[in-house]
Amino acid sequence: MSTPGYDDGASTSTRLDFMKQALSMANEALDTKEVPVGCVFVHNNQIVGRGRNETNATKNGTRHAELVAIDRMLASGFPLTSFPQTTLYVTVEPCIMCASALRQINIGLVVFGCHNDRFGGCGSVLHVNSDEGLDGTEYRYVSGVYKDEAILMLRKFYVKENESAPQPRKKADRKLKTLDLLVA
Amino acid sequence: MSSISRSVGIKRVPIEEERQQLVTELVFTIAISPHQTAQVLKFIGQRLPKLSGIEHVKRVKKHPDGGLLVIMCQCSQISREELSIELQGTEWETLEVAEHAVPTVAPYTAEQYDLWKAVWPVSYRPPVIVRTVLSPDDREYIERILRYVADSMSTDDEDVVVAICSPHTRLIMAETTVSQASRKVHPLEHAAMCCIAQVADAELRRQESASDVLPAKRPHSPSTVDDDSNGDYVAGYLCEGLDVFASREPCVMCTMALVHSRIGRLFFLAASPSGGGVSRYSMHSYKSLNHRFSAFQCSITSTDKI
Repeated sequence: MSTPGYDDGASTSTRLDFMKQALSMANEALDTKEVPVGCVFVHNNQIVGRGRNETNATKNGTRHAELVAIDRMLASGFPLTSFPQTTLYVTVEPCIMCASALRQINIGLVVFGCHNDRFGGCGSVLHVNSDEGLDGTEYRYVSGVYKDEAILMLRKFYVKENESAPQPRKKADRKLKTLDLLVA
Repeated sequence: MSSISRSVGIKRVPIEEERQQLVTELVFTIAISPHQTAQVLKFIGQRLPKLSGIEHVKRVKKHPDGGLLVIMCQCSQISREELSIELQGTEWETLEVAEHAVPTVAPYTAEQYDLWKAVWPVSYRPPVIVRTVLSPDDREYIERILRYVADSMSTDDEDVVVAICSPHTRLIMAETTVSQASRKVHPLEHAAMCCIAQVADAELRRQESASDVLPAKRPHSPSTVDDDSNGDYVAGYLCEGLDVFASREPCVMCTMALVHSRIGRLFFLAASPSGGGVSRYSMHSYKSLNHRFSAFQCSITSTDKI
């Protein structure tokens, strides 16, 4: 990625620390039978927003971790003008909807764990973060931070039955695969 | 006395496949005489890699000189040298191997088929496009809601109005007007997002107040409106099958929100000034996404009548 823009200059260990916080939000989602994606927003080295998927509980397909966090931040007075110096840590690549939302709030930098091959808006399906001419500001991303942990979390969810899906599939025979992942 | 009559135009936005331009790739061919066909095809089946991803391409093409051109394999699969090694010791060893361009993607429309087959013979099965022809009463309902959406806009043309309707009841389930001023306070509070939230909240309230009652059922298609008896229904999942009417084409965020919400149809009036999800990315018909919907670009034209 060579898109110019904000760089928070965070060290690898700082990145890992904040992504751990995002993973704990994802774990909270898993515990409440939501697709386990979690995020934190970091400004001046402080966590200023947290979110996790709430689509099943709200019956609203737009309640992804990023949008939930942004709504709460704005409601509690986080200034719009600070987003360009803010880094998002999210366990999974933002979907096309969230990738566009992040652009429209002019996010500084996005750090994510694993790629999202089905819906990803930061390169996997579309390049909403860097395509020219769209609303908002282009942004850079860093990927792969605690990638395997993020994948493991998703697999834990998808071996269970999603009762909220239109036609829930029976998954009694499914086994959690972990051999290809490097997780502590 | 003069009155203004307004005519509504409704034009379906082509899906991704319909916009596909001709793309070709190269294959190795040899020219044979017709009586050799069976033998050559047998050899190909036993010794050469199978065609991959271009199953719509016909194996054999008539040659102007009365012979046949046969596709050996795709140039991307093996090299010319590897092919000539395979051909060594066969009857066709001395035949010249040529390269021909063939269409990479199967044709979707009749126009594409005409264009594609001029390059190389291809098979074509016309697609079944669902719900593209609007029945008169469906059209009347669509025009009524579009006029309502247009009338709901204030003189500030930066307003965006969105309404979500059930094609079953043809009634408005959610509607929102968002002004430019409110978008400055919360840049993501777009009318489509607000309407999706309204539908979700209504469903939550309904379930809370009627937890002992059977879940509400929503028919997949408007044609099953009054047939409540056959049980062939699914419960309302998100905005599945609903119609969305917008004064302006939804942005990328909102279009993906409509995909996530599994809407049935989108009708929008003005094109997005900064690249909407439908016109920029064909997101209503993007193959790799898990849901597609029909999109219609609409217009309302006023004509003075005397």
